[in-house]
Amino acid sequence: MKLEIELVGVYDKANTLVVDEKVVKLKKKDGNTRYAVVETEKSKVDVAMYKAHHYVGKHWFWWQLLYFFVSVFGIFDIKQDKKMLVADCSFTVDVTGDTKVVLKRENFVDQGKFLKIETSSTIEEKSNIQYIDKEALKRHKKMKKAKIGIFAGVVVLAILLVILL
Amino acid sequence: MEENKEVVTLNHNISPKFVSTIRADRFSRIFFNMSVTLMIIALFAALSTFILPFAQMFLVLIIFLIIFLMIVVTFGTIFTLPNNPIIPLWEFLQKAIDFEKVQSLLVYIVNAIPYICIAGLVCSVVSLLITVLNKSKREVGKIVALSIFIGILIIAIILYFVLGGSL
Repeated sequence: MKLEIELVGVYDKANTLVVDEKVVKLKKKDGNTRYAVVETEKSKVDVAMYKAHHYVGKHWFWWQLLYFFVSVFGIFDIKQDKKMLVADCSFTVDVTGDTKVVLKRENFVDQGKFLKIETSSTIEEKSNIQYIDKEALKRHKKMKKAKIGIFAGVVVLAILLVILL
Repeated sequence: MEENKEVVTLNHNISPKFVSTIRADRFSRIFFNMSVTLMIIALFAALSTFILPFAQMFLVLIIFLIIFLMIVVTFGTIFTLPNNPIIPLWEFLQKAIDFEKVQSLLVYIVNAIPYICIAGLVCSVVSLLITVLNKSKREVGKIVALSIFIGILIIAIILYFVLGGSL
């Protein structure tokens, strides 16, 4: 059985399509449309589309610090979305034969719907929301201060080393 | 920890498996960026040993990069140091532009080639391992690119030692 998922609307690389806990790559169809075809034996398939930031989990601070050091003070790090937008849409779709699901991006409204789901099959929506993660914004600011502190520490250490040597 | 309560509500629907995927992806991209940069530096260094204009361009770029990084990382406080390293670097830069003196300066860079290659190889291997082990996200393009990098760097290291180089 085939499940075709089509995403219509402005494509954001940070959006990740997950089908049965596996990340699925979207291919370009035309203009603002992307699609993916998934072969499955299951009659019910879990589909999710996320946009997440890296300030998640219990140990977010230590992870951020690790990224900072590994990427040589952030020089080789990736560019992050500073707005901390989080989007989460997950649903279960009944797959009977060849099934097509069209996901249309909604305009951004804080705490509003993320995707409009169109399909002839039956779906069970679990979540569908997009919002600015204020907690992540706070964490981002906290991390910025920590990075400046580390920088300052390194500078002081370097000056001390130069003076002593 | 104070965050415990908030973590429950933050991205509550996103599975831990997905979180580990995005973490692995970030590490893989960091190491990929590092290996690309080291590859370019090693390539320019290698080319500069027999193509003089490359040598000049390479030296000027590297010295500019080092000066820029020094100023940024130290927030400009480097100028206040008694043994300001910017001055000898600037003199070095002027020598680099001087066509005849390039050859003598190249010795320093050429000596660093094996170290740059080894560092690039380590970064490429780490990035490749993370990308391959991250089974929920298949990135064929990246795997192919990293395999090419590893091949080139291994050949470069072997050639260096075969031609009589040592660490």
